This record gives sequence, C-alpha cells and structure tokens, in this order.
Amino acid sequence: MQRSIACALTNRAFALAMSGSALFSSLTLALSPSMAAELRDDIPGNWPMYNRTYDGTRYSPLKEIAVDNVQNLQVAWIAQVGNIREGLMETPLVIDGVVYSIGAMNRVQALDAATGKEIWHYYPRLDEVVNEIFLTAISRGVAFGDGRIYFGTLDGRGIALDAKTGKELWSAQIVPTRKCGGCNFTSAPVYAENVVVFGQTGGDIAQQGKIFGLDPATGKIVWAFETLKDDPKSWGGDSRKFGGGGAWQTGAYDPKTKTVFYGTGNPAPDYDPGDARPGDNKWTSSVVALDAATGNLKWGFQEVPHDLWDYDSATGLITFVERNGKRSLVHYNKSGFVYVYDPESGALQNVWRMNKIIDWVESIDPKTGELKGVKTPKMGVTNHTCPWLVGSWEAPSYSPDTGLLYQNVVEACNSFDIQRMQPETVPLAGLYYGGSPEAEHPPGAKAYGHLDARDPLTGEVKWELKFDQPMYSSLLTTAGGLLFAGDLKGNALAYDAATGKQLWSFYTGSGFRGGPVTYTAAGHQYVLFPSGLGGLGLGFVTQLWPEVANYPAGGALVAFRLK
Amino acid sequence: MNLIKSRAAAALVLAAFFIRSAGAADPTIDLNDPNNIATGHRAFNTNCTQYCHGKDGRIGRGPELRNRKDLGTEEIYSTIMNGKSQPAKVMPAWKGQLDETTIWQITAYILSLRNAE
Repeated sequence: MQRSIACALTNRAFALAMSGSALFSSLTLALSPSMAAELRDDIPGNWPMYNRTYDGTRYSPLKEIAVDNVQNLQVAWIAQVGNIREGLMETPLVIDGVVYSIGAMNRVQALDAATGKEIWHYYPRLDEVVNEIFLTAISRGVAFGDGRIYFGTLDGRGIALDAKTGKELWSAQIVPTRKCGGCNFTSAPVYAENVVVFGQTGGDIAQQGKIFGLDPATGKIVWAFETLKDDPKSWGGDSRKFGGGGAWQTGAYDPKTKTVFYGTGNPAPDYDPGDARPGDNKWTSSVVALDAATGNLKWGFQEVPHDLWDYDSATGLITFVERNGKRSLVHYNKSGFVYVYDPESGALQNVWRMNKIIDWVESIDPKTGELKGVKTPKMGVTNHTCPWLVGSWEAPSYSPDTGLLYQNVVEACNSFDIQRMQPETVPLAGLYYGGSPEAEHPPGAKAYGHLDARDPLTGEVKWELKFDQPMYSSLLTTAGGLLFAGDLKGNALAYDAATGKQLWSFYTGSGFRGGPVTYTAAGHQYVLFPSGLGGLGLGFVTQLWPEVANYPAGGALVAFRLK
Repeated sequence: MNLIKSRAAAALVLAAFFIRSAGAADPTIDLNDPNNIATGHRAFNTNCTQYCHGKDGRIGRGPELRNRKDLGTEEIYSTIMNGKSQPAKVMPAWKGQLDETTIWQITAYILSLRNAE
C-alpha cells in the first residue's frame, strides 16, 4: 500500500517538475511530514539521510546516468558555501528538490536542487570556545525528520530548524564543550523516528564520551548512553573519569527492530604508558546496539579490547547487507579489519582483512574476535605499528546490484613514543593522546592507497585499484552501474562498479573529504559533489604526501547532470 | 604654561612608548638556555604536532619552522599566544591554555631551529 502511494506521488512530483511549477512547494503539499517519514526509503530521487537509506548502503536506484553515458556529464551548477575553514566534509541531503548543506562553522543552507540557488540559510552564533578547541570547524552532515533539519554543533549543542524556512525551532546544550576537553559534535545525527541521536567526539579527549537521544520535537535529552562502561573491571582506578570514547561518526538505525547502532571512539589516552587505564576499557573501540527508546544496550562487541593504537570503531559506516534471506551488519574498524555481525544478536559471523599491511596483531579469530599475537606498544622505545591511524575513515558504499562493498583504503604505518600525560592539564586546543604519532612508509615499501571492490561478508577481492596517493572521500554507487569517488587533488571520478574501469573525471579545483550524492530534480538525475579540501587528518597526510600541504582549500557544491 | 603642558605631554608619550615596548613581547626566560630550549622542544612535540605542525618543526598543515631566519622572537611568541587565522586554516590561541613560561620555551625552541640541519 505504501509503495504504491510512493510511486503515485513520485510520478505526480515528476509531472509537476516537468510542468515547471515551483518544485519545492508542490512536493511539500504532496508529501506531508508524517508520510514523508515512512516513505523516505521508497523515493529514489531523494537522499534523505546521511547514508541515503537505513541500510546504510550509499546506493541509489537512479539510472538515468549510467555506464554508457556518464562521459556526457556536465556541470549543472556550483554553490559556494562561503566559509572554507577546514574544507567541506559533508554528505549533503536532498529531499523533494531541496539540498540541505552544512559547511564550516555549522552554517546550514537550503538550496534549490535544480539550480543551486539559496532558499534559506541559518548561520548559528557559536560560542567563542569553537576557536579554542581542537575538533573544529567541520560537520559531516545534517539529519531530517518530521519536517525538521537536525544537526550537532561545534559548541556542543543540538539544533533543529524548520526544513521549509530554516527557522530555529530548538537549541539544546547537550555537552559542556569548555568543560569536557573540547568535546562537541562533528557528525550528522541519526533520526530514529521518536528520537534523534547524537554521537559526540572524541576518543582523544580527556572526558567521558556519550551517545545522546533527544526528543525531535523539543530537543529534550531523553537518554544518554555512556560509552565508558561504569565497571571498575573495565576501568581501573579513576581512569574512567577521562577515558575518552564517544561516537564521532554517524551511526545507523533499524526501524524494524527500533535499534540504533554506533561505532565508538578509542579510549584515552590513545597511547597507554602501561597503567593509565587498566581493564578492557569497554565500550570503547566497539560496535554497540542500543534500544532507540531508552538508549539501553542491547548488545555490544568490543573490536579492540584495551585499544593501544587508536584503532577506534567510529569509522566509515555501518552497512546492512542481505544475502540468502539473512541480514548482516558490516563494519570496518581503523585496525584494518572488517567485522561482520548478526545485527539482532550481535553474534560475530566473520572477521576479514581489509588492509594488506597489518602488524599490530598476528590474526583475529573470525568466530570469536579474539586477538592473537598482539604486538603491545611499550614505553621507553619507539613503537612501529601498521596500519596507520589515519586510514580512510569516511563512508564506503555497498551495491546490491554487484553485491560488492567499495572502500577507500590506505596502506601506511606509524611510529610513536609513549608519553605520560596528566589529563587535567591537557589544553582545550590539545589532545589527551599520550604521545605524538608520526606516519611512516611500510617496511621496505612506499605508502599508497587503493580502492577495493570486495565481497562484504567474506572480504574476497573482486577488483582493486592502486593509487600513489589515497582517497579520503566517501563513496557512492548507483543502479546505473557506477561508483563515484573524489580524490585529494580535486578530481570528481566515476568508475564502472563491476570492473573498476575509470569512465569519467572532472577537476573541481579542490579536493574531497565529503560524500557525493545523487538525486532527481526538474525531472533529471544529478550527482552532487562537495568539493573543498581540509580536515585535521590532513596534517598527518602531509607527512607521507607532502605535496598535499600546497593543495588549494575550497568549499563548493558542484552539481552534474547529463547534457 | 604652554611649555609646561607640552613638556608634560612629551613625557607622557615617551612613558607610554616604554610601557608598550616593555609589555608582553619581553621574554621572561633566557631564550638561549639549552634547558629552556629542550623543555620547549618537548612542549612543542606534545602540544603542536598532533595533526598540525610536523615533529621537530617540520612541515605539516602548518608551515616549515626549521631554518626560518625570517621569524622574529616577537612574531613567534605573538602567534603562539594569539593564534593565526587564514580562510581555510586556523591556529588556536594558546594564551590561557599554556602558561607564559611554556610559551616562551616553545618560542626559544623554534628560534633554535634557525640553523637546523
């Protein structure tokens, strides 16, 4: 019943668009907010949440742009976001012909998806603390639900705007940024029907990171999940007080089981002198499944117990893959391994290697997750470990057409000396790291990047592209058989998703950290690339690829469509 | 009357000049003391090299700080204290986050890199 309504409404929407009537107002009449919430997954022309659908695949069923005509893509419009501080790291939303974009300093804009012209903007007045802290100035995206746009701020708030007008509906102080080592929000929230979920930064901060559920209508905090388990066996002494954690990347929501899933941050200090945080430090570097109504833990799996390498689980995305009637949750940890879970029970189904160069552990038991042959970093020596902590931690994509998971990977290593730090003395602009990691080429080899097409459950390689310089954008796949990505130089790229053959590129002038999306507007398919190099991780990238230090910054949304 | 007033005014201007120059730019430590330089080196590698400056003053997101004969004492100190803002990148102000002695020690360290290998 819902599907046929969706089809009818979608057809009507296209008819209206073709007739040239005001797209936005027509569609908001056609789809009331409560219906839109249920129909989101069925509207091919929309990108209504961070990873497009609740399955988290970043796959679009649109196919007007396809393998045989992508060479004919041309620029349809460009929108400058205005503030280019730290570049553009977002994945914009597109709902009913409106682009919702968030740029530096939490500036939100609504743009006409066919022309790029601004409909409204909201520039929050941020507390001065945002200029003093470390984790500033980007946001990876906004969320949409019930006719509102939601986002977390650099000064620790959650804000809701009226999606039609941009008017602020509520602003809630969720975390005390000045008092928690500069903790705040830099990722898109998750709209989970009766709650909107915010995962805070950060594992490298002297604080107690949490995941919050807020009432979407009022901004009232309904629940808070402690990523640092309140258990002296997990956190010896008073280590839990400054244990880090948090969940700094967008999580996932399963509307069937009303469960929210997050990958959590690493424990602090990242590098442990040996006695800074006795215990397994649950639930850092873990995947947790929470009851959406209460925030209570349904299950948790700690991918890296007592993490000593900054191999947190707040990475990429949580993808749901269905095969032979069975649903799996696929998650790539910074440690170089991909974990496959039963999403309902949390039972581990498999662990497979994404990275080629891994030496922090000899192996991980694919049935139990047990770490075998761990190389424990020690104080007083220079430790060398692989992989490098600055992997490609933005979102991969899964295509149900090819059955493949696509992921940007970085092959590199790092060295570090462990330094004892006092958490109370770490400045706001600093990190409770416990040492300064330095990037290294792998032993006997040169660091490089690769773009992989893999079986998501077994890790079997279908194809792989090697690059001298890794990519750090999120990925997009479509029913047109295409895979879209963006490199650090500024090339927007399209590949044949089945073979990896590059089919198209366009130089936008500045590199990519965010995620391309695709949508329909004015009766046609568009691909929208957020172009604009920046981000704190780039400081590390320059250690191995010094040319990146001179790449131009930027902040522009570049929309393409067929001639 | 006018002569007295103008002399008083001149004295005030002179006094103000000395007060201003004797302000925040005067080091409170010996910038050439190897102990201060070593402490500044440690403080630099602890606070400045996570994601921004390269270890030992090498290039990162921030510029190369080695062999920088163009960087004067006051400029180094003032930049650490007040931060720096460019359209795409911002260095935070460390005033109030690190104490003044530490900031002078980091200044001493960066000055010591003038003839780095």
